[in-house]
Formats: sequence, C-alpha cells, structure tokens
Amino acid sequence: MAKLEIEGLGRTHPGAKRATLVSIDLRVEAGEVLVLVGPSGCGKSTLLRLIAGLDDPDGGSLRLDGRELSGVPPQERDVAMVFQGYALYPHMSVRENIGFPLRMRGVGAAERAAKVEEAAELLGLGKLLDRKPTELSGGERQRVAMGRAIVRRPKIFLFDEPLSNLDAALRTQLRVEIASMLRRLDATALYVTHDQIEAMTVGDRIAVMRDGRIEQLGTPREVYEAPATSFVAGFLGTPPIDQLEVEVKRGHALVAGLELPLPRGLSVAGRAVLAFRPNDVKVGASDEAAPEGWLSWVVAVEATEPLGAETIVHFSVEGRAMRAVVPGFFDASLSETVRVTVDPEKLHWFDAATGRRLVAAASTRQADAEGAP
Amino acid sequence: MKPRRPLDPYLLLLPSLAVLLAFVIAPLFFAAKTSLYRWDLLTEARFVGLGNYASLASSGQLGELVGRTFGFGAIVVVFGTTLGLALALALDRPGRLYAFFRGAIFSAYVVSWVAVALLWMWILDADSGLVTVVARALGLPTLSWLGDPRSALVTIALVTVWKITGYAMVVFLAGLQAIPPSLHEAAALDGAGAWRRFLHITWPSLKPTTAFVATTSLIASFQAFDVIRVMTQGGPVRSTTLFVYAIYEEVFVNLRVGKASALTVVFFVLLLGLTGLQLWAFRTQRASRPREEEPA
Ligand SMILES: Nc1ncnc2c1ncn2[C@@H]1O[C@H](COP(=O)(O)OP(=O)(O)OP(=O)(O)O)[C@@H](O)[C@H]1O
Ligand SMILES: [Mg+2]
Repeated sequence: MAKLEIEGLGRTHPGAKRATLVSIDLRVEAGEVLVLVGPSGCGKSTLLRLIAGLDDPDGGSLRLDGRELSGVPPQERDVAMVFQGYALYPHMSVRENIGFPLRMRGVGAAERAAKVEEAAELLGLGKLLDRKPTELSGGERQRVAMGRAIVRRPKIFLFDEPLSNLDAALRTQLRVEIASMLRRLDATALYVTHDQIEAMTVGDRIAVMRDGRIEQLGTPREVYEAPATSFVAGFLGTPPIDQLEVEVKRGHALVAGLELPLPRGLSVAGRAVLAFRPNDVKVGASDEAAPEGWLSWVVAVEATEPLGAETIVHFSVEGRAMRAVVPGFFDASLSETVRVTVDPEKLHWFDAATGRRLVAAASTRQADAEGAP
Repeated sequence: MKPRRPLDPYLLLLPSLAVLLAFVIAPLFFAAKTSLYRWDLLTEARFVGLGNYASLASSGQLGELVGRTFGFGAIVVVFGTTLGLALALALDRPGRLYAFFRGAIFSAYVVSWVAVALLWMWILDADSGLVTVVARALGLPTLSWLGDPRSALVTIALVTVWKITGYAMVVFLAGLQAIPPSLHEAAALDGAGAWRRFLHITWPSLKPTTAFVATTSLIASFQAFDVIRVMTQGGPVRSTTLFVYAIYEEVFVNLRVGKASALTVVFFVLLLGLTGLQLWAFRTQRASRPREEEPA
C-alpha cells in the first residue's frame, strides 16, 4: 500500500466560471482510509478523477508512493476505482468482470481463476460468478464492483459514493463490511460520500470539502467535536447542529433574552454564531434551576418524534426552530413548557462574518460564570 | 379481460390495411398470377404453368442474377459497415470541425440516387473524368471504370458504399454514444489501453449495432436500381444487371411480363428471408443493449 501526496492541485473546467478545485493539499498515509465529504458539486468526484488520471489538473502535483503521476495514463497508475454507477461490463459475467483487471495485466488463466474465486469468497459472490450484471441486484452489483477493485492489490483505492444507489438498510450493512474489509486489506483509500454517517464510520480521517477547498481535515472525532467552521459544524451530525447568530457586548453574548458570558480568551466584537448539537441539549422541568453559566431557556414543546432509543423534541427560540435529543421516550403534551439547557462546554462559537471557529471546544469553561436567569 | 367493442381495433387499422392491400398485397398476388402466364402486354396472355420459373432456372439466368446480386451485396455490406464504423470511431469527438465532417459525410445519404449516379459518372468518365485526368497527370494507367465488365460492378458497389456509409456512420455513432463513458474509464483503470478498450468494451457493445447496419446495407444493396439505370443500364455485357434491374428490363425492354413476374416472386421470397434476418438482428440488438446503469 502506498501513500498519496497532493500539493496545490487545481482544476477549472473549460467554460466554468469558477475553479472546481482550488489548490488542494492533502496527504493520505499508507494504509489510511480518508473520507471526502461535502455537499453536491463541491468537487469530490473531480478530485478522484484527477487522481485516477481520468481528468487532468491545471496545476499542482500528485505523487503516489513518491512517483509523480502527471502525464501517466490511467492504465499505468495502479489505481482502482469503484464508480457510483459501478460501471460493470454488461457483456461479461461476474467472473469475467472481476478477472478483467488481472487479464489486462497479463495474469495467467489459472492464477486469475484462483484470485477471482478468492475475491468472490471474500465478498460472498461465490454463487453468482456466472451471472451477467443485469441479473444482479443493486447490492450484488456493488459487491462485484468492489471485487473488481480488490482482486489486484492496487496502490490506492478510490471510491466515488459507492453506496449511494442502495437503500438505507443495505447501505448500513455494506458500509460496515467495506470499512472492515479496507482495514483487513490494510488498504490506502480515498472514499467519497455525502452521507455523514458513512463518513464517520468508514474514515480514519475526514476531509470536509466546500466549493473546491478542504475546509477541515481531521479524525472523525476532531471534526465532530471541534468543527473548524460553522459550515463543517452544520454538515456533520444528525439532527444537524443548531446555530444562532448573536450580538456580543462587553464580554457577553445577548442570546434570546439572556446574557451569556463569553468563554475566557475569546474576544469578538459585533456578532458571533453560537451553535450546539441537539444531543447536547438537556430538557428538564421548567421550574428547575439551571446550573450557573449554562445556556438556559424556558420554551414550549412544539412537537416530539419518538424514535425508540431517543426522542427528538422540537421547540423554537426567537422564531428559530431548534431540536433537543433526549434518551428514551419523552412524555410531554404539546405546548407544555420545559426548560432546555446546554453546558457551556458544549457550545461552539464561530465568527459571524468568516464562519471560523472562535475558540477550542474544550476551553469554553468560564470559571467566574455568571448570569443565567 | 373482454373488450367491450371488439371491432374497434380493426376499424382503426383499416386505413393502413387498405393501403397495404392496394399497393403491396394485391400487386403481389397479381405478380404471382402473372408469373404463370406468357404475356407481352399487347397480345392475349397464355397460361404456361411453372414454365417461366423453369426457363429462368434452366437458362442459368436466375443463378447468375442471384450470384451477382449477392456479390454486389457482399461488397456493399463489408465496405459500408467497416467504413461506417471507422468513420464513427474517428469522428466521435466534440468540436465543430468533427461536427462538420459528420454532417458532410451524412449528406451523401440524403442526396438522391440519380444525382449521386450522375456525379460519379462525371468523376469516373473515361475521357475527361476527374479520376482519369488526375491519373494521367500522375502518369498512372487509366481505366474505363464503367466500360469494363470486370470493373463495372465493383465500381457501382463502391459508389453505393460511398452513398450509404454516412447512414452506417450515424447508426454507429448512436451506438457509440450509448456506451456509458464510465465503462471506458473503468477499463482504463483496470489497465486496458486504447486498443484493448476498443476490443473489450467498444466492439462487444457495438455487435448488435453492427448486425443492424449490415442487414440494412444488404437490403439497400438488393434494392439498387436508379444507380444502375443511370450509370450502366445493366451493362457492359450484363455485368451490372442486378435483380431489380433485371425485372425492369424484362418488362419494359423485353416485354416479357410473365418472366418478370416470376423474377419478382423469387425476389420477394429472398427479401422476406432477409427481412426476417433484419428483424432478428433488431430484436437481439434490443435484448442485449446494455442496461443503463448510470443514474440519469
Ligand atoms: N466535465 C465537466 N465540465 C464542466 N464542469 C464540470 C465537469 N465535471 C464537473 N463539473 C463541475 O464541477 C463541479 C464539481 O463537480 P463534482 O462532480 O466534482 O462534484 P461532486 O462533489 O462529486 O458532487 P456530487 O456529490 O453531486 O457527486 C460542479 O459544479 C460541476 O458542475
Ligand atoms: Mg460526485
């Protein structure tokens, strides 16, 4: 397995008004699975296609295991890619599809048959080897596409939304299988998805992309717990993080009728964005007092969604719809008032103008906290 | 389910059935009947049974015609299909220049056969034709393309190829464009260079298209008439007398309507077989067309 180094990689499609990729710098270590997430059109597929050699960059460099890739045609790059639509060869059987990359590399028939069997075994395709792709279900096709990629050991795997054509149940099952298979093969991989759960479960590290740039690169935990920008914060997590733009005056944020002291060391003038995850919101009786320094509101319950393991409680603050996720079932009649509170350590602060994180999540504690009503 | 108005479908079909009956089926029956008579359009027809068929077969005329027509068809099919595929592969590229070439090549297909025939007669003229002039200027031997019985049929076949290749190209272009680009990309990543991508992806995907183009060209070649009527009138020494032209000649030159009708019936049976072949090719094309796997 190899490491991939990307430096200053840029791409502007002919005729496009703005760059699709703006100077990407990225290192994928040997044996690492790096997930690229981002909204539609942010350039994820374009980045994969540049690495695969299916598209040419305008500038920058790509090195795989130290070898410069520019000018190397795709068939000589030793890169395997699983396409979103699988791109199985319709006139070939499953066996021939999986064996094709070996055949193209001059692997003899006997060795090829053995390797195809081995890959098929690993993917549970043993009984389907003689079928044509049109005779397979979506999940089976996906596995064949995986088989075609893993049958030779390429330097790097590229996955372009490999599960997006499947239904939710199958997706859940396959993402676990893919993650464990990639670990077992000790594979270097770049995995594109716009499903944030997939990103968290499959990746050793996650790169969150936006408008052709990498907005944040880090472990799933770093990206989730300390999002670098309000965009990243909003992108990862279900239900999504709630954000509220607030006015800051004399070290205090004016948040919907309450004055919240800013975390120590954080200086901002004018406006800031305050964000918290629904899972960090606690719901209690309205006459219960909140601990010192906590964000705390008395609100009316607008709706509840009991999901079994947890319940999503909907409320609104200053006309903004917000959510709290509480464990188990939650008994509350509609428009009953409750107190919602958030530990200041769980609050995220962002610059309202740039969207950048204002302070590390762990240092939000304000020792001499004051002023929750 | 029982239709409430069982006659309605037939009523709706009636107009086209009537046309079919008047212009195809009735003349066919008329031809079948006439083929059993000796008739010169002027005097009373005389019943001869299968005599016309017998004399066609025994004089060797029929065998000669079938052989020549199939030979002509073979040249048209092989060259038309190969050239059409080659042109489609070469011109399946973005850009105005390529679009211009595609349009120019296809335009030959739209021009009338008579115009094409006249154009090529002018180009191939043994005394002052373009080809002769150029050959003379280069000091090459000149050939009487249409005047020599050895070359006339091949020359007409190549003119036919020239005219119908544009159609073959367009069908192949459609076939090429139906191949999802991701298949080529996947094959490239699997290690296949340009030639092996053609061999393992393009060609298998185009097989049904090829069958379709080949049968269509074959049928077009069987219907060749205008080009022969204008360029050679079946000569020299009957070397370009193909089936349809022979039928025409029997009626309007030799005034042997019975014999012409017998030829027509034989030709009809031949075409029926070929149409069956075409239908079969068309069905397999639809059945084996790669299912669109890319979401739209
Ligand atoms: N061949 C092309 N020509 C012109 N523009 C293109 C081309 N391919 C992609 N783009 C543009 O580049 C941008 C990024 O496309 P890309 O396919 O990389 O997005 P993506 O992040 O993979 O999105 P998705 O999640 O929808 O697959 C888009 O705005 C797209 O319109
Ligand atoms: Mg994409």
